[in-house]
Amino acid sequence: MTITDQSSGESTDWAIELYNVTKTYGTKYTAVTAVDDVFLHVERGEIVVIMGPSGSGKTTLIQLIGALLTPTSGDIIVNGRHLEGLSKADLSKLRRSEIGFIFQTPNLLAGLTSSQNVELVLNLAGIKGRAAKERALHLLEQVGLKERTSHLPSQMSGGEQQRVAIARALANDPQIILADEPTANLDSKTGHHVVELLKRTAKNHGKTVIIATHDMRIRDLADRVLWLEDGKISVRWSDGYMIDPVCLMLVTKSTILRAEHNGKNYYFCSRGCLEKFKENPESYASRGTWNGDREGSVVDA
Amino acid sequence: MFEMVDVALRNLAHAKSKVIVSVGGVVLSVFLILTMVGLNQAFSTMMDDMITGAGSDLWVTSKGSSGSFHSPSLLPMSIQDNLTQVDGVREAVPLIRTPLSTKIHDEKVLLYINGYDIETGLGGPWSVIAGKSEVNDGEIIIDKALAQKQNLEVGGNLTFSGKDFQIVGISDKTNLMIAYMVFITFDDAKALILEGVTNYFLVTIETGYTLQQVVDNIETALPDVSASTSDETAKAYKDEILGGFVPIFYLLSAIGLLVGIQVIGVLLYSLTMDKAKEYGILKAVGATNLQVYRVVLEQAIIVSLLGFAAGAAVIPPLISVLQVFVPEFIVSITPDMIFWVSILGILTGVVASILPARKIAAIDPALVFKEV
Repeated sequence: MTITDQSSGESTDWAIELYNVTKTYGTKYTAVTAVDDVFLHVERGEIVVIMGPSGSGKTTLIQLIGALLTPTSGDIIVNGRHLEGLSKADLSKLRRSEIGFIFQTPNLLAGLTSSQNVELVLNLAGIKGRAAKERALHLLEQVGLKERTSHLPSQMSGGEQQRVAIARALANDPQIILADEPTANLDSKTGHHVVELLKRTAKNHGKTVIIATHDMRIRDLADRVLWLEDGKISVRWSDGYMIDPVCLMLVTKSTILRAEHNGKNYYFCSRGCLEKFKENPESYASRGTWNGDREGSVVDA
Repeated sequence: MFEMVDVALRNLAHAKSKVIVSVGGVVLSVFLILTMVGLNQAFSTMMDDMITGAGSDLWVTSKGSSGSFHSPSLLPMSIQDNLTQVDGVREAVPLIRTPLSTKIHDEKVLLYINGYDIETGLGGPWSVIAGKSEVNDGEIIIDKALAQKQNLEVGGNLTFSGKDFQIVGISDKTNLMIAYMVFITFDDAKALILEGVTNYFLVTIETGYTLQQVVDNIETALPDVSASTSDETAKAYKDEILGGFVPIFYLLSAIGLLVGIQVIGVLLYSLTMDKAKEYGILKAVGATNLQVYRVVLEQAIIVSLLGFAAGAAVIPPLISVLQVFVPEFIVSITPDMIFWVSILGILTGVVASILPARKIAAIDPALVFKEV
């Protein structure tokens, strides 16, 4: 498979630069290469969606860009700073001030209110007291949680928690937002709201955003969609993958969760989606953003 | 204002049961520490009182003896005249102090007989809390713990070694834990040991002489005796009696401290493991190891201070209650002990947080990407 997206340009124009980055877990016989010789440039203000099936290396790639993992080889430059050689404290500072994270689960601190969860990140950056409080409230208002600032995570829905996580990611006004499967645990409607919010926020604030997902709904958000498979980036989706018509997630064609309807094959990520499809196949069969026959369909990146 | 310390407090608030159990464990640890230190203090004070409370300047014992339980002194009465003639000696009176095992109300009791000279009062009771503060023949002043334990009171009678005594006073600070001190006249006491001997001579000195001068004069005039000041005698008592116990006190105190560290350490370790993902989140969003460690350290210090404060507040009254049921239980707790125990509390927290801190340092911030 080719290593792609070899965009050219001056390094100062790029928010993120990856040069031949490889990440291998384990050694010798247990070695697994999660990210394989990736070359990637992301412009400032660009929204990049990285898609691919589970286990393709999306999360590892996000962790590498977010200075949470050290590559086995290659070079990563974030906002013009080579991550290699930075001390742990410098990496912490980089994550604190230049990168905002949104995780698959909101990962809020259970004992803190939504406002305090946002304030905490500001506190870490040295912004304390009233200034932190006011900024946290402002951000929560922006994500539509003005009335929920004193609520604990346990008192909020999954979508609300994820919105708090978005506010937290923006707290220190980072240039880069890294999101890993931000809609994976949300229902369709909530997921849609979160996607819209992420898009609006990113555009309004001019952030560079990288989203790892296998949620088709996020595709529309992107300036550029990359396909990651076996740790390598490709411009085209593999023929081996399909879209679950119920949840719109990417699934492998080798899955045994399959149904036939009007002479076409449909593939599912879970038995729950399969059952839903069987209940009302007509309503699901027409869903999707792709062209042509579903089986073996290929969508341009 | 919301600060990192709030994270520590809120983490603790989310684990109330664990915190309560841990604070309870620390209170037990403090109880052990304070009891041991307080016991040592009480014994030490009692030894001082036993000697300095006698009212003499010097104590004369048989040569090579300190006169303590462990090293009894026996002197012939015949040297009293020789002593009084020593240059610088104003008076020299005998004092019998000897343990006596007897039965009171069918219970075996060890008395520490204190037979003193009633003319001078030297060696008499130093802290009488009820009744008279001096005795005549046939009368006795008994220790408060003995009175409580055996339901004895002023006006009652006490019989031992075939002799009846009327209780005329109750004395405090004379509970030796293993024996109760009682005060009778020297004449009554000498019938309990060999005729013509005593354990000590208590000496007061003439003005114009130093203690050391008179000690030297006595030991020169009477080579078979030892003379020492009250302070020296008290020290010798403490060295001999407490010397055997102090290492045990310290050992038990150290065990108490280790129990406290262990209890807090287990709590913190458990909390750290429970909150591992949250610490991972903190690290992922840019907290340094030091900032996260601060949260754990604050938790440790909060729990240890809560435990030590609760212990310091609860234990002194608890000991007072215990002393009602177990009068022999003598523990002396002073404000400076409470202060040092509080300092110890903070140190305990710091030590207990070392292992969780190491654990935190090892927490991978990438953990937050794993769905739980």
